[in-house]
Amino acid sequence: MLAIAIMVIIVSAEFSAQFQVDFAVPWSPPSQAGLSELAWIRDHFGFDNPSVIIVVRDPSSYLWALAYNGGLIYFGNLLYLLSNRTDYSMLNNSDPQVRSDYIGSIQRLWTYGVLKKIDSGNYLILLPSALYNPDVLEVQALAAYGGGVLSVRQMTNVSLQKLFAAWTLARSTNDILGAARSYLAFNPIAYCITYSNWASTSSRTTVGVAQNFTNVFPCSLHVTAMAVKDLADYAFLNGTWNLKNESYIGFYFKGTADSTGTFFLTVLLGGAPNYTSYYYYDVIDKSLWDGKIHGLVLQLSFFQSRDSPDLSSISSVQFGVYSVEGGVFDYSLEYVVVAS
Amino acid sequence: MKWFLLTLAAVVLSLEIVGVAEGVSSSLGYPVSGSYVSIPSQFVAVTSLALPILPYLSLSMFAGALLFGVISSTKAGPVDEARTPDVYQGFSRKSRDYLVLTAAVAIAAFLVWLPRSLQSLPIGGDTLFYISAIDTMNREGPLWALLYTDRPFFYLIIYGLQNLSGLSTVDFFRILPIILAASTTASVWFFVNLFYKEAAGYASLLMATSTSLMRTSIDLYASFFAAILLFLTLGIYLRYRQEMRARQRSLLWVMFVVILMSYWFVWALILVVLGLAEALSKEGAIRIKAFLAVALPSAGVLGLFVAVALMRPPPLYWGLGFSFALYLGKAITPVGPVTYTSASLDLSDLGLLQYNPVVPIFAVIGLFFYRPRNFEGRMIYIWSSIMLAFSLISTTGLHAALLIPLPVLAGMGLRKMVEAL
Repeated sequence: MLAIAIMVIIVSAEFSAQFQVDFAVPWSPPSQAGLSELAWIRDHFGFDNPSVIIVVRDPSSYLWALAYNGGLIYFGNLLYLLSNRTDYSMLNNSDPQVRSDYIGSIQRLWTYGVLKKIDSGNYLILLPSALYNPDVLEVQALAAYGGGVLSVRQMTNVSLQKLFAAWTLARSTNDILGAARSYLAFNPIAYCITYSNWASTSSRTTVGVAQNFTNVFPCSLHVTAMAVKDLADYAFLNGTWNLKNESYIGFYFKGTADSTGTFFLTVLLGGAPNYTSYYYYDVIDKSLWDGKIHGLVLQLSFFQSRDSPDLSSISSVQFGVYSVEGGVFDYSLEYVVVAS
Repeated sequence: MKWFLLTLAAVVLSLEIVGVAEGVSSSLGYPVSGSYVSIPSQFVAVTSLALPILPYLSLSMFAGALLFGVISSTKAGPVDEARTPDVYQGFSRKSRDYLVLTAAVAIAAFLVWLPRSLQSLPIGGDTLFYISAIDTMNREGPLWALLYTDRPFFYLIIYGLQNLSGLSTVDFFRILPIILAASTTASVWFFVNLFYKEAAGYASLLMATSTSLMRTSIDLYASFFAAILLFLTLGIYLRYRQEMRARQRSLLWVMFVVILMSYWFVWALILVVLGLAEALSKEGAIRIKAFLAVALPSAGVLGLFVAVALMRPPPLYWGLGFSFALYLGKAITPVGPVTYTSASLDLSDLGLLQYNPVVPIFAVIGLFFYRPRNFEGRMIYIWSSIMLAFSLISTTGLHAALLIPLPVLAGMGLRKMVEAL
């Protein structure tokens, strides 16, 4: 029986070893670029610098920023911090981790008396860009600082309040493109007269010019894709574009999806025929497919690339749907634009 | 029949040992190949099919065993007769006990070291928070722990150890869980050794190999520290109860205050467990009086902290005396109090402990054989019942589930099986 008792202990030890290998792992670290930016801030400003506020907005980044940089870390949306308002979307968030991280971060800023003096000029507010991914409106409050890190630039209270109002309106109406038009000059990549040149990469996808669904542009593009598993079909427009001096691509989108599993919209900027070199961006957010109008603005610097394409000679603009399980995707695009 | 059952158990355990070892080896990147290598793995896979129902099964079995023990507490449990006075302990027996303890401590240290030898980044989410807390203390001084945390003594100890070690904060948190795991294993041995010497080795070995120790070691350092204090304090209290020495009473005063300032949830648990167990004693009134004499100083210290919290509300003071509502999911923010977590019934934390099914199964056997006839028995039953109830509530589930004394009960269960067979 003693031998069996020893065997019981051995089995128990093995189960625990398996548990350790499976679960005793680092807390989902952010990208290497994100960690490098945190390290850059620490190297330049030291650990726990009471004059520096670092802004992040996902739970993983928050804990890593605390460990790497200590001190004043704000977890949440930048413009709420700058205008010293409580972000109730964070405070009442359905994710308990988001709620507790937001509360923890504002408690600390409150304790150190930061919130009342946020516009005093005493604090350098930094955003690690790879961790925060600011949108086009937030970028209006930022300037490049170094090492991939952005800093908040000086703004008057009036312009800050105007930006905050535009940003909150954009979030509530899902139309950041409309809000951004007050700040940036957008130019269509093509006018309605050339919309008939849009084509598809396979017979499973049909493309046609349709009536506009906003009042911004006179026409729209309607696409119906019968997607098959693990394959993306595209609607594309060939041409020649120099996007070297552009920073954003935007468009209005309205679509529905009949599919299970993972699927997303991909925006692809072809640099050469047959997909040998291109830029692409996956819009993962499934709420995009709720049948309502969404105005999107994507930063070209966040696009991934394959085989060194050249932004100064883009030969095609493509929109496609990738679906793991396949399905039917019906969507419309309008006012496809770029801005610097 | 007996030999048939023992042979069957040996075969099953052998298959599990080989199968789980193959799994661990494969997880570490060294898959085992060979003609018959898949047989044990498939056996483990078949037996693990029962894992999804284990939380419900073990909850029913554990609650049933507690109820059974309470109902049949008038009957002498086999463990009561198994107690052996110190005078019969020979030198060789003691050496063997210490050898088992050493082995248990070494196994705990190895299992906690294992993932840290494989990972370069800090392990666990809360570890990142603890790193920032200790670095903040290094900049702002030790008073920070008193002003801004509800576990000032724990933080002061960790801060002191980090400074004594001379290691960077990140490196220090690679060795801290190993030290805490070894200390927890030793404290379990110390506790069980006081009332069931023969089971102390088994209990420490099962603590060293329990999922609760593994989960705690990932990033729950305050719970770890509190568990050590819990076992030590209960052990000291058992001695004090027998000998009633003034020195032991003074030590208990200190221990109660230290636990209060390290993890007040565990301090409250000790008060309730010991208070109820004493109240149910034959000489209840006298015992309660003696218990209160030990516990009241710490309650007075808590009163002081509460007074400070009332006089200096947040954001001036966030420390002990203010934090009670945190366990109810409430927090103070610049816009007033908010409830950030709502309590609900949740079995998932109890389910976590089933990853290693050996410990819960033997814990149920331990309860079956160990009845609440004496003070120690009542203490363990009350402790288990309270933590089992709290482990079903989402806001307290994880910490309560880890504080159920499963390894202690499992050690007694395994020992009893060895005696009976």
